[in-house]
Amino acid sequence: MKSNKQGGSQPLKQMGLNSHSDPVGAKLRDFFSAIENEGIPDRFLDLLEKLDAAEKGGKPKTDGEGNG
Amino acid sequence: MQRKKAANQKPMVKEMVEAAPAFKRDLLAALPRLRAFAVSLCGNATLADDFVQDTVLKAWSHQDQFEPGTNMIAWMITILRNQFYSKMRKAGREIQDSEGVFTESMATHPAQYGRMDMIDFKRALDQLAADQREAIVLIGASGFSYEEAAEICGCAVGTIKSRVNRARAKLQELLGIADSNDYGPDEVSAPLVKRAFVA
Repeated sequence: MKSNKQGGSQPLKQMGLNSHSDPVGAKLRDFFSAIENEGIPDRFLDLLEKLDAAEKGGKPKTDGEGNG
Repeated sequence: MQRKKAANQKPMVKEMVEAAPAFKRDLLAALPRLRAFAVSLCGNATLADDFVQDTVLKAWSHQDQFEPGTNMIAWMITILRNQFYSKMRKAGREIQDSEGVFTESMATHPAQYGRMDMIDFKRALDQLAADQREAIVLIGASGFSYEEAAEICGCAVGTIKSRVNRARAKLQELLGIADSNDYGPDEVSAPLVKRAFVA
């Protein structure tokens, strides 16, 4: 993948979207950013803390990925 | 560099993000957008967070497969949608918010998105086929290019474009919004109307 940007409005321009010409696009972005702006629920912060602690706490990494 | 930290205090997000190693930091930074994508795709906030949790676990255990410097959010969305579609196939039907699980959970966040027009929008979005829904969400809100969305969905760029177009047309229809390209036989007036909206 060529870019490492985490988003932005460039594809919207690509679509020719703005709130005047595309009310659907505007509503979609409102909806999406409302959820995005909720931030990160505690359950995920706790989960990551646990994962991190488990990794640091010397719990050996499971060998044998079994990925197939 | 010394960092003061109250012993019994939950770590602040910002602090966690700053202190974390690169992978964890990028993963945390990707979470809000991943959740927004998940809710948009699943139509159910509770279910969406379960998918997000599974995705975090899977991403964590497959860290070695993530190429540093590439797009973390794209990688996580790819994982999440794989889980979503595999669950959907197992269930043999679409996972949908048939009547209001999402609406109920929205009611607990009135400040964020309790507005009526947003609930209406959510209902309309839920009525799209999942592939169209994810296409318009990836392109219209998540900040991906058509090429990136095609890569995430494992399909051709043209397929993404047509899904986005169909999704947009359907949403316009469901929301009762006139398409500026759709003023009937009178093609001459369309550009004028468009201009009138801009002015």
